[in-house]
Parts: sequence; structure tokens; C-alpha cells
Amino acid sequence: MSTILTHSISLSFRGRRRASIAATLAVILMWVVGAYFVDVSLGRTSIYSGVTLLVCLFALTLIGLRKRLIMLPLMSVSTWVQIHIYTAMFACVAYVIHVPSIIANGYFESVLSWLFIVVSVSGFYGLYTSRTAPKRLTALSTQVRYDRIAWHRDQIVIAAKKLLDQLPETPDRNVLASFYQTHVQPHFVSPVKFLYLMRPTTTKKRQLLGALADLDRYMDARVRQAAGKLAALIRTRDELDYQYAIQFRLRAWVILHAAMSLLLLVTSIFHAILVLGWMGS
Amino acid sequence: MDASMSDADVAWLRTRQPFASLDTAAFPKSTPLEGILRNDCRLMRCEPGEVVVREGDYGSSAFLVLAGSVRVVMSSLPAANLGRGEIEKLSWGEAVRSWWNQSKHAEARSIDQVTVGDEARVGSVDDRPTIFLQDFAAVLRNHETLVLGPGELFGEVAAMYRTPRAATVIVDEEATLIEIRWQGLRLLRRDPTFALQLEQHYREHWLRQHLKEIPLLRHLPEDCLDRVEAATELHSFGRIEWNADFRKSQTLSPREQIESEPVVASEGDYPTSLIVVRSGFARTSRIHGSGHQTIAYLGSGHLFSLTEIAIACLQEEPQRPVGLRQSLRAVGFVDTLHIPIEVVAADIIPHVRRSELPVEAQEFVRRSRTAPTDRRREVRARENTKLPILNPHDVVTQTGNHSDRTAQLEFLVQHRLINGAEAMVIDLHRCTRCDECVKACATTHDGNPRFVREGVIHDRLQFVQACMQCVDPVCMIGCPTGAIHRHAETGVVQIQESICVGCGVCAASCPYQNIRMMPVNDTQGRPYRDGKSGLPIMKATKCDMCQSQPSGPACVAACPHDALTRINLTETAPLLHWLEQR
Amino acid sequence: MRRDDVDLPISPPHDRPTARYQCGRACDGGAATGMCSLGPTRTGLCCHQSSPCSPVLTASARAQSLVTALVGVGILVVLIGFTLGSSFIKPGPLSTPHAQILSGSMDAKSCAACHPGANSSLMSWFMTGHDAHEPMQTDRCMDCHHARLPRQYARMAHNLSPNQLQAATANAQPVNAVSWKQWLPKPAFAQNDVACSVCHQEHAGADANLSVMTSEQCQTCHQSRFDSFATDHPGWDRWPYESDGIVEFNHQTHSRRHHPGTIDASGNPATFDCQQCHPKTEDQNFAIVSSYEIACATCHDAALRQQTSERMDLFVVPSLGQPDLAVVGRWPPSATGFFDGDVGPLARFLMRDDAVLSDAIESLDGGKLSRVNPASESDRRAAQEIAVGIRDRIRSMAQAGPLPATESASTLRAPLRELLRGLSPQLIAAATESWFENRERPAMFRNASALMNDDDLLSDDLPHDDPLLAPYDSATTLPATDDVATPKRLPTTPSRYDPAKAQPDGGWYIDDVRLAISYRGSGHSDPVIRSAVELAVGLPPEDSVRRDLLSIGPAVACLECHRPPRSQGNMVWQNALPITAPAPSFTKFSHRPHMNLPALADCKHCHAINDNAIDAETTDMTTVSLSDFVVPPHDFLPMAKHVCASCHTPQAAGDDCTKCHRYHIEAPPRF
Repeated sequence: MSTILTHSISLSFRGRRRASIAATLAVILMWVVGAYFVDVSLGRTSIYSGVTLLVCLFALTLIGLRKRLIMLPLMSVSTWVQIHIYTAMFACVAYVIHVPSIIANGYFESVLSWLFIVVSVSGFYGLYTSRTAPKRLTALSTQVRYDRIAWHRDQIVIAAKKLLDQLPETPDRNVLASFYQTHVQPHFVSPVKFLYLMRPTTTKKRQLLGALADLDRYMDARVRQAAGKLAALIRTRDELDYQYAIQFRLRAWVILHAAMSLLLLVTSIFHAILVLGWMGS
Repeated sequence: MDASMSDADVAWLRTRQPFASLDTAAFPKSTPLEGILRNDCRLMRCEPGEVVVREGDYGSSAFLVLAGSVRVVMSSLPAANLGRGEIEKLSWGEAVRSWWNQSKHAEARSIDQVTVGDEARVGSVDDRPTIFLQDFAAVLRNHETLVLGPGELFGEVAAMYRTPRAATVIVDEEATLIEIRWQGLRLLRRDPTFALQLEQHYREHWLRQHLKEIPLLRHLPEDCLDRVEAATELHSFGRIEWNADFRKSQTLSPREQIESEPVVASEGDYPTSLIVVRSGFARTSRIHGSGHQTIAYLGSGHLFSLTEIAIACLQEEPQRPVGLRQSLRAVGFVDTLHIPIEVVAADIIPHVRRSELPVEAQEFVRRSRTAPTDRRREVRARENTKLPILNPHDVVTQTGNHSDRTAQLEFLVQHRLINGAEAMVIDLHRCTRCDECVKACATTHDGNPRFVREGVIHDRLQFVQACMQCVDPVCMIGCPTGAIHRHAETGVVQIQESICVGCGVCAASCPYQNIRMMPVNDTQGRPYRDGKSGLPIMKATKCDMCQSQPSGPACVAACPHDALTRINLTETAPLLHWLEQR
Repeated sequence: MRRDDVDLPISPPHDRPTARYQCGRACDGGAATGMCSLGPTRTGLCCHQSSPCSPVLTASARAQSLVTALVGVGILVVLIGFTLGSSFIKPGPLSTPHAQILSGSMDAKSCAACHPGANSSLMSWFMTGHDAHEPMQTDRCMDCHHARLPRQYARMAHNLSPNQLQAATANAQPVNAVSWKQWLPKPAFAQNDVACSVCHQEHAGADANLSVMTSEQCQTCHQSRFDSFATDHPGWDRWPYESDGIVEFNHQTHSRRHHPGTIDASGNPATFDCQQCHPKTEDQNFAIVSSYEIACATCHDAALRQQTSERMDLFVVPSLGQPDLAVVGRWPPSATGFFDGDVGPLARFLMRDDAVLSDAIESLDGGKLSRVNPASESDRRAAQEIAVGIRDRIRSMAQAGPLPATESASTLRAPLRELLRGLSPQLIAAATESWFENRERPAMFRNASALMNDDDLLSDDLPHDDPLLAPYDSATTLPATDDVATPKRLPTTPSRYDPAKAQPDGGWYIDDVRLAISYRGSGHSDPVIRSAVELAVGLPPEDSVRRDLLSIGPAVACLECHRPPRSQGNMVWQNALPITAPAPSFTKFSHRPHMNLPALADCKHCHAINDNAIDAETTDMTTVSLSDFVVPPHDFLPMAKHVCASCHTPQAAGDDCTKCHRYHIEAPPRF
């Protein structure tokens, strides 16, 4: 039934990409030739490119509305995303024609330029990260849902505590317990650090595991077994942090992109009103 | 079954037909007749107007009328009579409005969403929830019915052979029925008369139809078909309630799992009959190392050992007979029809077109019947012509669903995902974990998502725990009111909440845990409570393929990266095709 | 070092991502009882009343609040920016000239200098501008630029009126080639509505060049468009501009014949140096038209002085016969004898007002008294009339001034006045007294007739006493031992008044021998000779006065170079061409940047003299056909475009339209 909908066009992603790029380039070429025509005939290329930009902007922001009205059969969101990507590329070309110096002069217009740049850069970053980050996530041993990550963190803390509580009170246990108290527990309890979000590394994990391994010589077999399980928890926590970092960036760019694009739309409309009213005869 | 069968009930039962005439000697000591009666039967007292079974439902019990009478409705009853409503497709405006006016509370229902209307009535008889027709007289007037009296058995085909109920049966006068579940039926078949009776019934009503459904036999003339029908044997393997075993078997290692599956035919044996899978699933495997490698999985209508038999029949001089190249094992359970090889050779093979034979058989025929020069000419001719694109439903795939991706194939069969007609598959290499699918499902269901993005993962695919609309819907077995039923046209398994009593049988049955029992609240957020027990009313919830939404499945529409799809896993082609795209 | 793995519980399947809150507790989510499957309420209360958790926001809710916050902050920033006034929305700095004028202060009034609808309120910027009564922006530009550009034609193409534009179009040379640029679109505005802002866009930075235009943009209004300067631009067929024929000068003959034929003081032929006659002007251009002093005087001045020194008679007292004296009255004795004396053209002109005199002159074939038949009574009477008329005129001039009594309102009054300006009535009075009153004048002013042995035809014309032509003064250059040179004592005889000696620089004088009031010219641009020519030219061509006036020596000398109009009109002495290039036209050219190149220091690199021009003196005229004269051969070859195009390529000197052409035309073009 619905499988037919997804299989109706048997174009591979690569083929779809090539066709879309070709179509976009063709449109860009024709549009640039049109801009040249306007320029040569001493028309207003800024109006030509500006109107194009504004129309593109409306079309691009409509995707937000499409996502809200998911119950209506208006083409799948993935089709909209494809259209969005290529329309955005075209809009960037139109922007460069509109503002050759990339950042416009004037306070208001430079704000507008920066907004456009932030939206474009975040969009391209989003495209890049949406295609590369999932593979990193899939390669991990377990998949966790974003809203549940805090819950998983708590589970690790509970499991670690249970692990230690199960051990009888012996000096070797104290070795492990003190290590846990001073190094591991603060790490387990705290949320992910901002620097780690920006650039995830395995440094902390290796530090802790190395330090834990160094304690082997002070512990008997049973405590060593518990230490092994603690090491497993440290690894799990590291993987969880990595999941969080990658999933965070997969969400964060959308927030920035959406917020800035709304702002861009509003300020662009202001700009259009100003320009059309006051550009001089 | 429950312990409602007391010894007195058993004794009384032994006095009634047909149990009275059953030969106790036929039953082994391990499963004596009394034991069967006690364990696998249940006495039901039914009131007039009570719906015993509904047409199209799946069931695992047969019913025997002990006293009173029941009426079998010959034509289809409208769904409303059974308390089921039609799913109305919302208009765009209504869909948007329902989103805009989303309730502030979870699982909110209005009163008429949780109670049944006028046509039917949910009640209980002896603590057994059941559904009543409101206007039985009208139904009797409008539809032709057949009366079944004491001693008559009905519903055994559905129970034994996993077919949907053929007709709706309504209690006429106050009646006493005995419900025999399929384990009991199977054991009772040890009695030759009973067995014969069962088989006769099946052959009379169903066999011909099932044979005609096999694509290979569609060109057979009637007399050949008669002979085939007469010679066909009925077998079944595995447990029909495979969902119960499923969880247990998942704890075993994959190798142990496959070895625990009952063997229908072994690799290396000489074929004695053409095996047709009538219902259920089977897999063909080959010995690989010290284990077994899955080659294909077979569903309803697929044939096993056709290649070998065809080669054996078509070779001109009797040569060394060809042994089976693969083993056939039952996945869960499988019902088979065995057609003896002589009948195949005499009545079937002559009427089959060469192009409809399996490729290997075609090759063999070509090789054996053409001279070397002709063969070369044919090879060249074949290379120069374009092969036609075959419909996956064509006869060529009748030997099962093959796939080059063995690991994936093993995984699918092992987890019984081959059951799903609309399995939700997520490509984890493209999924950005944005949860838009779940959010979309929630948006179209008043804020309540009908699945969670959890499920088994193999390589880059996640098979999410969202209702797969199985071809073998074990969830539908045992619903007391028929709330869970399959839509006749779309094949979607849907739950009619107004007649769902929240017993949880479907949720427990589903081997993939795709059905969840949820407490329902009113529009103010207060839970609906059962009048008698005071406990919150639960309703079974699951994916309904967004049948009422204009968009169709919202999850598919909402995924921004083409990562999610609803795919038919009963065949290998759709999944392979989808993966090729990326 | 991997040891045991820990089995952690799997997360409960109670995700509600669209909800606002989710459970804040790390339990199994009530999986066993299904209690927490619904999650916290929308207001954030835990569903578990007995032992509540503290619900946390879901990621979706956090994202929504973040987006709202960002958008809100952003809008706030923009709105705050707007409160800063117009300076916030100013789209960049103005170019320096405009910025300086609007100096500094950023109140809205300065915006209103160019944006008509802007006033102090910021919201006015958001209200649409054009009120039909408000001025357009071009008018604002004109408020400052009206000095250079005509206001009423500010919006016309090239700032020309439609008629001027049409004339210029008719005059334009067609473009031969058809390039792909023909297919470029038509201009985006009407030809009579070219606002300033079409080409000049402000707010592009302090150093922005407001006049940047590509060649394609220039050509967008033009019907025939060409591809590039070198290939399709029309050639300079019209250059050299035809001489307007006012002052004749032939470069070819001068460079080929005259200059090489002139040996200067050091014995070399004179070089034909362009810059000698066309000196550099103040704006580093070259003068197209030179002055006489610079260009011609070196060679021609001597000749001209000599030529103009030929006398021009105003009045000559005619000679009458003895019997006529009875009618005429007193007459100078030297003019008595026989009829003689022709009435000169000037005299004839001055006597025109008298009809009787005119008739008399007419009857004598233009006043030729030498033709008088003594027998003819009418002739005699006419001659008498003429003589009396002349005498009367002279007398009246002596008394009342040189101008005739009757004021004629003709256009010839001005040259006549100029002609007679220097003629003092006292001189005439002296002449009158001597001639008609017989009063002696001092000897030095007298021409002794006793010494007149020779025929006046011979004596007074001999120039041997003329100091101009006698460079050697015998008194100084002959050796002292020369017998001839030895001063002898000779009888001092009064010499004839020699105007060459007494008035070497010209002027009016009286010749007592000839009884004439004459004028001696002073050389080039002698005012009296000039006026005589102007007077003559003001008469119709068939007029004998004109013919005769223009035949006298000094006039002929003038007319050798200064062409008179063919018909009656004004005499134009100078070329109308200005010193440098014509008044602002479509084309602009300055020699200055070209003079930096040594190769172009030789003017002939671009201005080639036409050696093939037909020189009547050296060419065998039998070989010349009529067609050679169809296009008047000019002494310069047409300037070749390839000479310009060799340097003016896009990579080198540049071949944009704006390099050589103007858009803003301040006066109608001459060509």
C-alpha cells in the first residue's frame, strides 16, 4: 500500500543529486543571464536579485510550516528538504549578485547580511552534519534516544552505586570506592561539558580507565571484577556522552537555523518595504 | 485453558456427542482424552444475540454446540452490527482543526470514543467479555442464516489452518458451547473418525480453492486438478502459537534457534512430493560449515522441491535421481500441502510452461534438449535480447524469497520480521535522530505517539517496534469482542476502541510488543474507570497506518532525510530495492 | 582491556516528544504497572501523585523556547536599532563629494536632501513615499546640479531636447557590423524619463565612482550596437573637420612647397613644425586655430605690409578742362587741362545718396572721366557734376566731419564709420584750402610740383625711395671713398611728401600731386582696409563698388587668405572654431594624456597630411578628372581609427565608451 509511495521513483540518491544539481545549475545560469540583461539595460539588478531572494526566502521558510502541517498530503518532508537545499543554493548565488561585497554597508543592512550568512552557513553545516554524523552514531554499540540520555546517565550512577554497595567492606573495596568518589562519581553525575560538545574526545575515558587499570595491583580478584564492571560503566558513559554530543549538534544547528531564518524573514520584509518605498525614481 | 473445567464438567462432556463416540484407546497415555477435555476445552454459556465469531477474524479455537443453537450468517454483516465503525478519512480542514484543537491531556477520549453505539453492546457473560448484537431480529430478517444445532462443530478450519473465520456466528437461543483450542483439536485428531471428519471438512470447503490459488497450477484442466486434489496430503509443522515460543527462542543462539525449528524436508533426501506452503513461514537452508545458511524464506503459496522434481520429471532417460539441495524448516509454524511426485509428473508438469519453471530447471531442459551448436546459438540469442522485467508476484519467485544478503536474510527470519507487510524500517545511516517521525505520529494522534523509536538493529537498518500489519496476525487471535480486526481492502489491522475491553490479549500476543495498553482519560484529564472494579480502563493502542489522515502514514511523510519507510518484508525485493536507492 | 560488561536496563518505551515535560526520575517508568506511560501533565505535574518526580522539559520544548528567545531577542535588537533613527537604516556611506555637502550631521533632513519623502520621523520611511505632488528624486539632484545641466531636459536622454536629439541621430554615422549585442534587451526606462539614479547609484562607499558605465550599458539605448571599439565603431571619416573656409590655409602646400622653399637666416629650409602654429594651451590642449602673429606673421608679415601700403584713395579731385571751370568755379590748377580721373569706388559709394550724382557717374560708365568725350555735352555736364560733387563732399567733410550728412540706417554704417574714423577733418580742411582756396601750405607739407618732371604715372609709383624696399641706405653702407656717396652740396629742393617715409605705419594722407585723399595701410589687420572690405562685402555681388573695392591692392591682399562671402553679407575674418575643441559635445578629447608618449609627440602620427591632395601648381591638371573634385580633397587625410585602436584596447588604454564620449551634453553639438 504505502510502499508504493516510497518506491514510485526508482532514482538512486546519487542520481537524484546529479539531476538536482544539473537543474539548479541550469536555473542559476538562466537567472544570471537575466541579471546581466537587466544590468546591461540599466535596469535595477538589485531589485531583480532582491525580489528573487525574497521569493526564495518565503519558499525556504515554508518548510517550517510544512513540518507543522504533517497531516496534509503536500509531498513528504524529505522532498521538501531536497527542494529546500537546492533553492538555498540558488538563493546564495542570488545573494552574491545582490550583495557583491557579501557584507553590506549600513547598520541595518549589515545586520541583514550577517543574518543571511549565519542562516546559510548553518544550513550548509547542517547538510554536512546530517549526512556524516548518523554514520558515527550507527557505529556505536547501542542507540539511545535524545530525551532519554539523562535517564541513561542516571542509570549509570545507580548501577555504579549498586556495584559498590554489593562489595563487602574491605580495604580493597575502599581503594576502589575512594577512586570512584574522587574521580568517577563527579564525572558520572555531571552533564556533558561544553568543550566536549564542541569537540568530543576520548581523553577523559582513557584517563579514567588508565587510572583504574593502575589500581589493579591493589585489589583482590573480586574487587577487580567489580572494577572491571566499573570500567564497563565508564565506557558506557563515554559512549553516551558521544551520543549526546553528536545528537546535540544534529539538533542545535536546526534551532539556530530556524530561529535565524525567521528573524531573517522579518528583517528582509522590513528591508523590502524600505527599499521599495525609498529607492528613488 | 482456565480451570473452569471441573471433573464433573468433563464427565458430563463425555456423555455428549461426539465425545461419547470417541475412541479413548486412540489417545496415548500422555494425553488422555479426559486430559484433553480438561485442559484444552472450555464450557461457554452463551446468551442470545451474542457474537461468537466474526467473519474475517483470526481464531485459534473451534466451537462445538452442546445445547441450544447458533446461526451462521451466510452473507457479510455490516461492520456497524459488530460494533465496528468505518474509518472516515478526514478532510484537510478537519485534519488541521483536530491538530489545532489538540487535547491538553494524554490519551484523551470523548465518551463516545470509548463506548459502543447502538448497534452492538459490550457485555460479559460469566465474567467473560463479549459483544452482543442489539437488533438480532433485524439481522435475521436481512441476512440468510444457517442454523447449527447440538453436536455440530464450527470454526475448526480457522483454528487449525490459520485462515480467517469464514462467517459470523451468532447465538440464537441460549446455548452451551464448548470451545476447543487448537492444541486440543490437534490431539483429538488422533481419533480417526474425528480426524477424518476434520479433514473432510477442509477438503470439501477449502482445498480446491487453495490449490487454485497456486500460480503454478492455474493452467491445469479440471480433471488433472481433481486428481491432484485427491492425492494432496495435509500436514502442519511447528506450533501455531509461535508467538509464545518466540520470546523463549530469542534467548537461544541463532544456531540453536535454527536447529530447534522442525524440519519439513532434509537436504540430500530425494523428493517424494511437491511441498506447497499454505500458511505460515518456512525457510530453506543449506549446510554451511557446521551450521545452516538460510537461502530463502517461503510464505503462503510458495513451493519447495519444484526444481528437483522438475528436473527428475523432465530428464529423458532415467538417471540418478536428484536429491534436495536445501532443507525446509518451519519458522514458527507452517501448514503444507504435499502433492506426491507421481501426480506432479503426470498431471502438473505437462501443463506447466517452460518459462514458468524455476530457472535451473529451464537451464537443464535447454541443455539436455538442444545440440551444442544450438545451445551456443541460444546463448548468443539470449545475450542479445533484453530480459523482460518480471513482476515480483510472477510465478518465477514461487520458489521463495531469495536474497544475496545472507546475513540480513538470516536476521529477518530469525526475528520473524518476515511477517510484516508494513514494517517500519529506519536507515540509521541517514537518520539524524530528530524524532520527527514520532512527533508526526503524535501530531496525527492527538498528541499520543503510537510507536517509540526502538527496535532491533541489523547493520544500518533498525526495525522499529511499530505495528507491521502482519500477514499472520497473531494479535488478532483471542480478542473477545473482535475489537482488533483487519480491514478488508487495505489489510490494515485496526483496533475499534469503542468495543475494546482492555483485556490485553492482543498486546500479550504480539511477539514484537508493538501493541501497548494505555489508560484513557476524559477530555479533562481524569481517567475513565471501570464501574465495577474501579480500575482505570485500558485500551489497546498501536499503529493504524494513519488511515483517517489525508496524508497517509505521517511518519513516512515527516522524515526529512528519506530514512524511514514502511516496507513489505514478506518479500525480499522491496527491501533490496529500497537499499539500492541509497 | 575489556572485562565484563554491565547490563543496564533498557529505557521504558514511554516517549512523548511533542509533550512539554517528561519524567524527571530514573526509574523503570512504571513499566510493570504502566503508571508513568502518560508522562507529566502539560502544566508540569508528575502523573504519580503519591511519589511525584520533578518533570523536566523535553528537548522539543527546550528547542521551542530557545527559538522563541532568539527570535524575540533578534527582533528587539532590530527595533532598538530603529530607534536610533535614520542612521540605522542608512545603507552605507555616500560618496565623498555628496557626503561633504551633506556634512556630518545625521539628522533626517540630510536624508531628505535626496529622498523627497523623508522627514524626521522614522516611521515615514515605512510609509510609501510617492505623493504625486512631491518632487521626484531627479529634481532634488537638479537642485544642486542645475548650473551644469539644463533643468528642463534633466530627464531627457543626453539632456538634449527631442529636436536636438533627433538632429544628432540624423547626423550619426551608421554602424556597419551587426554584433550579438543587438539581441541584448532594450533599456529598462523610457527615453524621455531617464532619472539620474538610472546611472548614478549612491550609497556605495566614500570612494565609489558614480559614473562607472560599461560599454554595453551605454549602448542599451542605442539602436545599433556594436561589439567593440576596434571592430565596429564608425571611423572618423568626418575628421578633419572641413575648414569653414574663413581663413584659407593649405597644410599640404605649406609643408611640401612653401616651407622647404623658404630659407631662413641660417641657410636651412624652414621646418614645418606643427607646434609652432598650434601651441599648447593652458589646459594642455593644442590650439586648433592659431593667431596671425603666431602662425603667419613670420613669413607673411613683410609681404602684407608691403601690399597694404598700396594707397587706397578716398577722393581724387578729377581733372577738368579749362572751359569747365566757368561752370565749376575754383579748381586747382594742377587739375585743369583735360578730363581725367576716375572716380574711385569709395567716392562713388559716398556719393550714392545723391541721385543726380549717381546718374552722372552712371552715365560716365562708373565715373571714368577719362572716357569723357569733350564734344559730348552730356558727358561734360556729367563730368562737371561729378567734379562739383567731389569738391562739395570734400568741403563738407572738412567742415562737418567725415561721415556723410545723410544718415543712412543701413548696415554699412558701422564699417563706414570705422573706415573714416582716423580721417581728421583738419587734414581735409588743409587739403581744401590748398586745393580749392589756393592757400599755401608750409613747404614741408607741400608736394612741389616743380620737381615733377616725370609723368605722374611713373614718378610717384617708383618705390626706389621707399625705405621698406631699400634695405641699404646709401648714406651709410657705401664706402666713404665712393664718389657717389660723397655728399655733395646739392640745391635743397623740397621733396614730395612721401608717406612711405613719413607714415611708415600707415594712415590717411593727402597727395597734392594727385590731389587725392588717400590711405596707406599698416599691414595685417589694418582697420581701415578691413572696414573697406567689410563695406564692400556688405554690398550685393553685382555692385560695381564692391567689385572695384575688392580689387584694390590692399583688399586683394586681405582676400588672399580671408575668404569673403559669395553674396551680400557680413565679412567674417576669423574661423568660428574655438581655440580648442568644440563646445561640449558627445565627444571629448584631450591631447594631454597622449603627449606623454614620445611616439605621439610627432603630431603627424595621427594628423597625416594628404600628399595626394591636388596642388594645382604642381599637378599636371590634364591627369585630373572631375571625380577627384567631388569630395573636396582636404589637406589632411582622414584620421584612421586603427591609429587609436592600436592603443585603445581593453587591456591597454581602454576602449570604453566613456573614455571618449560624454553623456551629459551642455550645449547642442555642432556636428
